[in-house]
Amino acid sequence: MVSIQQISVSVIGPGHLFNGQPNQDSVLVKSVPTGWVAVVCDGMGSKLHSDLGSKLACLAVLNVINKVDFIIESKELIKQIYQRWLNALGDVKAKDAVTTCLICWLSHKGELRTFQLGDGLILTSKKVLEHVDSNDFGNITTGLGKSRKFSDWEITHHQLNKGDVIALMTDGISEDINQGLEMEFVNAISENIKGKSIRQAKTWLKNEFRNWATPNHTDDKSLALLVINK
Amino acid sequence: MSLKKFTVAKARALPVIILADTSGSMSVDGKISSLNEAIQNMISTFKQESARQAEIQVGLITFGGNEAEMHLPLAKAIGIEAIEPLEATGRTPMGHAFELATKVLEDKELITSRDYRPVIILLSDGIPTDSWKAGLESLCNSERGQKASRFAMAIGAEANIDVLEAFNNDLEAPVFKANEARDIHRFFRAVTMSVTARSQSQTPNDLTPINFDDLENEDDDLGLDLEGQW
Repeated sequence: MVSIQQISVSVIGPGHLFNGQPNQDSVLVKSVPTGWVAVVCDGMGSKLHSDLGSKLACLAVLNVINKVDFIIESKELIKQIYQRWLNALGDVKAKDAVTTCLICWLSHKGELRTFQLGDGLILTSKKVLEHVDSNDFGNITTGLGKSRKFSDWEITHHQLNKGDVIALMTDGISEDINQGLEMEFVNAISENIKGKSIRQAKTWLKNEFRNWATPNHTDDKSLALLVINK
Repeated sequence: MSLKKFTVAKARALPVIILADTSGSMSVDGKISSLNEAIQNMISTFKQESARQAEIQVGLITFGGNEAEMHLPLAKAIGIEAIEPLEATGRTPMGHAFELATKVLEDKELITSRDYRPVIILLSDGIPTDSWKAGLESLCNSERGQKASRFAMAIGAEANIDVLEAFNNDLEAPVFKANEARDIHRFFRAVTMSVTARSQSQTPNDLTPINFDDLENEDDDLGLDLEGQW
């Protein structure tokens, strides 16, 4: 049985506050029969129901993972999650609720499966980030409601050990972290919340995200952090 | 402890690159003075927007005489004090302007991958006098050139519409045809409104339309039940 410390926080960005719109990110960390699941979703701001899209995506992931074995094949898992999200949307068109979807699924044996569609960042103590000179531009992304290809998902599977850290964050955070400092950033959060109550830790982290140092930042900011207990 | 030391201290930029025809024919009918005024007005508006949210940058490439030149290197709109007025003289080296624009776009230190999708504006009242095809192809086919939003304006009946249409990639905004000098103001006002709307948007990059029916690999399709959902 894996034991973890976890925190999840989502704060609305100045861009949405300014325009009187809701936070379009959603975050969820829950215990499931097979271990733990963490989900971070970033609804696309230009879409009418992106806030709904991201919330329903988190719920779709939880509802599916609650009922399947950890060894389920990746494509089948993604199909079930995607279909559940589509069904949950009801009358809302998928293209009006586009959302990124970042999933971490930790088994009781410490095995980790990650699934990522669209922008944002999944970091673990076992995953080294490779920075490439990209020809992309910020905020050109894909997500549920836009992609229908399995190959658009980035999927990893590895074994974690006691003390290892898992972090999921939206691009409102990851795009503003200096390249190469991502793991230090996550470790700094992990260190800072040690000894704090959940409420104190969340208050501190929300305050950091609300007082983000990057000039003219506009995005919502969401993060889920899991630390496997030693 | 604060997380500020991990974050990027530079705002995400929204680059706007203007390719302006300054050949001899622009000197008649008040065209060059209208262009000078329109560019100044655009920058003044961008300065106000930059103070609010996204950091708009402006670069100006002129093509008149023997070769194109970087009249104003890409810089924050808010920091631009004044622009040397453009003078109209000589031939129309548009191909060289495309080459300079491609260089600016490809400079990953100048325009980083976290910046927003650039806007490139081309305006001309004549026929290119240099070998423009290679320059246009390299700009339009480069990875970053394809992702940039490219608008074009034809001034007067002598403008080469074919070149401008090949440059323009905004399907909803075909080549703007100006009959008189005051139309230059109208065009610049429309582009200014489009850029400022983007700079205020939570997602300053419009989504690129995707044809979901054009999937190359059938096995890659997730096989979703999309009844009434797309």
